[in-house]
Amino acid sequence: MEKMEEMRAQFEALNRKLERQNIINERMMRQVMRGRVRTAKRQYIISICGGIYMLTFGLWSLYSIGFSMLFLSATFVLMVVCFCVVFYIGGDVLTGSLFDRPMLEIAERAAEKVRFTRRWHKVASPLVVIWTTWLCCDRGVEDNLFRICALVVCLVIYGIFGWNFTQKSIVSGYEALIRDIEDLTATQD
Amino acid sequence: MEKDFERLVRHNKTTIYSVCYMFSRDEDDVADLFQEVLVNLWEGFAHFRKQSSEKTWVYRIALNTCISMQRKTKRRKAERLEMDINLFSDNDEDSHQSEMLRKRIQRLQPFDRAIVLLWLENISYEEIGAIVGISAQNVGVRLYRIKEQLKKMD
Repeated sequence: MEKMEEMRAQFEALNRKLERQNIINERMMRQVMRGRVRTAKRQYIISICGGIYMLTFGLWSLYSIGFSMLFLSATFVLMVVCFCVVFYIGGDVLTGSLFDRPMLEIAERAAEKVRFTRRWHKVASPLVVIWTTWLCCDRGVEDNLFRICALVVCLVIYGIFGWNFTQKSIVSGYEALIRDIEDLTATQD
Repeated sequence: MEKDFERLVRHNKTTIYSVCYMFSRDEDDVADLFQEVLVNLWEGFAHFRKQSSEKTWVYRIALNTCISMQRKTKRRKAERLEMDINLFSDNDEDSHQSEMLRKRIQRLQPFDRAIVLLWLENISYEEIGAIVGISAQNVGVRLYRIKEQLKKMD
């Protein structure tokens, strides 16, 4: 008990010190309110714009090569689904929209997203294999072999980076949060 | 709205700074966290419905931001705003006491750090529970464990 009282006295010393100090200056307030500081929200908007650009550019490239309409339609649906999934998984992390909620609620949401991501990986991997096989068999492949090979190589590189990003940045971040919360809620047992 | 936000930040400046300080390793860390908390407060201010008290809301955002930032291995480099305060280099007695407290709290897990900070602020168990998302009874049990842990530390 003594230790906690000592900490309380130290906390009062901290508050005394802070009350005397000028913590916030005008320049800081102005910059925050004018949005001059780079924010997660801005990064989120840039990511969405990048995704839309990739969607249209990718489809246009496939169209210009001469792929069938059926393949283009399937690709469009697949890309839209992937796009939605990525932003469903990462949206809260990127925008920080959960910050004003209780910590446990954030963790429950995180757990839900980790489960969803794992299920998605199980569905997405065979889908990519099917799509790549179709890509190699569709019409117009013989005349554009070099371009197709380049596309497949780009896809593999993009896939590796994408996988790495979702695994490391999003899933591992959420998992660390869940571990902390499991520890916190263990006292309820 | 800007005036209201400015008033809120000035009114809660010690709360925001003390949370950031307890989650920092050095002066740069405090400045980064403080800036991030201010940005998140500003972005959430328009949606603040006043269902909870102002202080509870500020605490929630500050703690969630600090815990989230600490978890990130690579922090993004933002344009840093200069601060007029540096508790790490000051040599007076209050700074020394504050530094001892920071070192003690830093040895706890992030969520325990949050609970202790709220307890030090004399916030009721019910309110701590509302901020963290656990029951008031659970807060009591958790605090007891933290006290035991702190005893073993020294």
